[in-house]
Amino acid sequence: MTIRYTRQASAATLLLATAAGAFAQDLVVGTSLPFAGPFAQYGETVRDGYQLAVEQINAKGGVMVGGKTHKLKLVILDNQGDPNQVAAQGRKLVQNEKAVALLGALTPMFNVPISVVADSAKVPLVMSLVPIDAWQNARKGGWHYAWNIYAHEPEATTMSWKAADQITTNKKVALFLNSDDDGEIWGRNWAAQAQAAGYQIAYTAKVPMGTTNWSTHVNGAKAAGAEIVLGQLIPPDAIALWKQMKALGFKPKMATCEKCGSGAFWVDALGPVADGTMTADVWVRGMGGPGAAEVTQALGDKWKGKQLTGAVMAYTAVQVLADAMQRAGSTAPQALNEAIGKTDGNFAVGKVKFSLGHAAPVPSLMLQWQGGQALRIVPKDVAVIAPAAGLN
Amino acid sequence: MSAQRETAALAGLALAVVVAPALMPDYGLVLGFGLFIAAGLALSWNLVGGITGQFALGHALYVGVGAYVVALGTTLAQPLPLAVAVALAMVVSATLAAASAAAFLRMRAAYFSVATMGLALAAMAWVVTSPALGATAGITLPGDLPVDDRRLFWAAGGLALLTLALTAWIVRTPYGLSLMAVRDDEQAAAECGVNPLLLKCSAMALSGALAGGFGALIALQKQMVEPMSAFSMGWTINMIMMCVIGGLGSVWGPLLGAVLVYGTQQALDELAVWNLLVTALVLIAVIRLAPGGLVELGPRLLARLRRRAPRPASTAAASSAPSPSTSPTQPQGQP
Amino acid sequence: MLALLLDALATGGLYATVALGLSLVAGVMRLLNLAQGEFLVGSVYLMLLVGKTLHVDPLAAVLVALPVVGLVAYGVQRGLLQALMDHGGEAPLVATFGLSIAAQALFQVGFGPAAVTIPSDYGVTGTTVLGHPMRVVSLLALGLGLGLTVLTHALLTHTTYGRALRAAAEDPMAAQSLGVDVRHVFALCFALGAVLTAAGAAVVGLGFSVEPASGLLWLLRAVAVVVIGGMGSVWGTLAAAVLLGLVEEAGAALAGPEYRDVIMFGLLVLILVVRPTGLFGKALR
Repeated sequence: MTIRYTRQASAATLLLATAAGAFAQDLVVGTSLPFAGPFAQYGETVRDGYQLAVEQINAKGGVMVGGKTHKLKLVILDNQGDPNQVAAQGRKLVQNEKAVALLGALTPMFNVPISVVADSAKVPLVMSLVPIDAWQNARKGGWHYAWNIYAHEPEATTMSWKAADQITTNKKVALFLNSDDDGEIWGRNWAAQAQAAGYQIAYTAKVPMGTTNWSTHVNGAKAAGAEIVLGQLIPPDAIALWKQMKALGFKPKMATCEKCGSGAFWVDALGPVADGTMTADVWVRGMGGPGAAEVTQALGDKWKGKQLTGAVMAYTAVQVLADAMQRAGSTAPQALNEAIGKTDGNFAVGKVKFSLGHAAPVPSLMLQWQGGQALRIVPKDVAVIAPAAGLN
Repeated sequence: MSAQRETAALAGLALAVVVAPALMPDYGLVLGFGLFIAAGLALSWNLVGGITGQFALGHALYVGVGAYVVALGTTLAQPLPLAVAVALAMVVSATLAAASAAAFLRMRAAYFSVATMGLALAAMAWVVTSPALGATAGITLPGDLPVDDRRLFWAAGGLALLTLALTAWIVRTPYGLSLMAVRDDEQAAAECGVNPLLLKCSAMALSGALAGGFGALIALQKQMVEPMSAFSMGWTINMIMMCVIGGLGSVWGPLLGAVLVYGTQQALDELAVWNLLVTALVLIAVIRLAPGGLVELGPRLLARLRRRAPRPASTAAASSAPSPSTSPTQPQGQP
Repeated sequence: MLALLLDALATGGLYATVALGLSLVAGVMRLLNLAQGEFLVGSVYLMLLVGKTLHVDPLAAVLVALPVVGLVAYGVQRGLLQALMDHGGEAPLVATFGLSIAAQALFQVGFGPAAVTIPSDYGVTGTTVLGHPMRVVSLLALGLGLGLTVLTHALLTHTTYGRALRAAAEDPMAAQSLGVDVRHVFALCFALGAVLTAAGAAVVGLGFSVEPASGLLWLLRAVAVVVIGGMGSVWGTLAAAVLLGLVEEAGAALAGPEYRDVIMFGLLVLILVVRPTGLFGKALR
């Protein structure tokens, strides 16, 4: 190929050179996600959310930081569901991949270790999907570089009472909890709020994860006359519990299941028995701000219920990060960190403002599975179905 | 390997560990730390599982205990200095290990293994239900501890080298021989005058102390502890896997195994989901091709090459070729 | 009280089913198969697959899944583990661990990471036994545990294969020299062990749920049962399983369900300290 030096060619070359200078190097953002073990499916929804956000931002040209447009480069490491690997992977992202910011995973088990890395490496981290108290309480004095956008447990647990108020029951509640972080905190909040809300905790079962045999507890709850079941369990335990409730003829008027009733797998596994289960969440289809519709369109068939919320939260985290980069005009850690703190805007999940220390509480809502779809009952989109159809 | 060559190798490694931080990028320190922990744990387990022949399946207990002692020590009203906390972690682990060895003395083989595993699992379950120990949320260490990647690298490297040097030294002493005698035939060894109880307890104490030390360092790097990961069975499984793949009972085997397994895990960390399958298949392939461990591959290959080479005229040259052990027992003190 | 006993029997029946296979392999081949739980989980996934493609009753699906599991197990023992057992040392144990991980990865790739269960009326219907509500699957578990124990015992004591198996267990070399094809016998034993545990999939798949990593949970229970009951002792396994079921239920009732694991593993350690070869095990190596 011979290169002809003509006036047009040299002009084109000049133009190309200028354009290349305007597009500076990629900005790396990284995360460590679980793709094996009990949280693997949530790992996938979070990854999908991050990837979609980065793709769409890059499609529009990238992030404008201090006059130059940079594309985002997303690096995702697989910790195989082992929290022991998060610390080292976090450091790899910062030191090896030169990440300018980190993104989070889910649950305190993975998000606290990565927060520790963010604080010690002094690199900003934006995350979601970890309840605020569980995460904030982990470090005395609060976090410095880690930021969380999600539900606040004392507020989230009130959804149960708001939903229960809409149906007639004998106000007796049975709590079915795993003895993990979530079970601990939700159980505590429920127990503390019950009386003031006008309800009575008639039976509590706090069991280790991996419980398959619920017959004693189901019979116990039946004997205590509970008509409301509030559950905070991992999916396999919850599926076993629901089957046993049905088989042993325990027919609660209302049944909630946090974590467990959160995705299409619930309906796939239990079929009609799943109908009527409620679960608290922070977002539902049709809600939210810029980007929510895009996420629903791109991922709405693949993920349902709270799993789609997971993707929306992940998408929001990237949006918040990009927005902060633009406002800071730089990706220097301190400047970026300060800019994140000043976030006050409308994103995919809705309004985000870090009003609770380093946490941005998102108002909760209550969903109910009706005919295979997760629909919002508090605040009311559709009427609540009671008694819990699947179990009655 | 002869004693001089071994000492030279150890000295070389020590020098490398000291000098490396100046030559490596920061991430290399983190990678190195991970490798030292993996190798160190494998080497500490080897003392009990390989040399003394006690197949303990509960070493995660000592890793967890070490981690928790450091976490508690640094979060007291009057926090302990780091060195003291780590030393305490090792002492507590050693005591626990020796006590369990004494309690489980009468158990043979698989029953002993399961008892140690049961103890580790019971401990994890108990910590989960103890609010004083942070229950499921665990304990977060203060953010202002004087630890950084470089110090952790040297600490872990030093402890791993110590474990390696200790192993190399022990197998050459009468103590080491007694341990191996207990492994090979406890009854006969007892009749020869060694005290199996004392030997097993001392081996467990040493192994437990070292495992606890590594657990302490892990806690210092993660800056938090929680029961599921601190006492995770994954620690035990990795230790044993690296030992067996490298060469159970040998001095350098566990190190080789650690390099292979840890290296594979790190190389595949961006390959979501499939990395587990690939790691597993690599493991199975290696164990199938070298059931006695990687250490035997070298001599086996050498022997094969020498068999293929034309026979030398003098028999002296031929007889100097070391023959690999073909008996089903573990290689004895072989590098 | 009666309620407790009935529930414990059901749990015990299930644990016995899962543990029998492990006990057999451990007692005869001196091998602790760390992938035993994966036979159970794999069987559930197979049942799901068969149910989706052939639209048959889940119990019939079990009958299709079991031979497949058996064949795979036979191949694994003959092709991989036997060579490692010949070599001696701890290589077979590590290999079974590798197999366990490989299986988990395959389950995840093939069926996704979500928890699954077998949709069927069996799982959600109950009945009353002596005035106490019980699930149909619980009764199935009871029957299965008892029936399989009887069958295995009969196999070991009254068949030619059983005799060959016991001979190979005691002294492989002597058995081989007397004409027993020890490799084939061991491979069949491993396959039998897999099939026994996989039979538990009928209960676990219908009554509970599994995810790719569920195998470890069932392995731990099986190990506890086998060790308490004594390796290779068929009736010991059944007794230990029921005992474990009782301890679980009683422990949960007395101390609180969150202490279940502490009680179970603590008891395991305690029993071994007092009787180092398990409650019913022979004092052999």
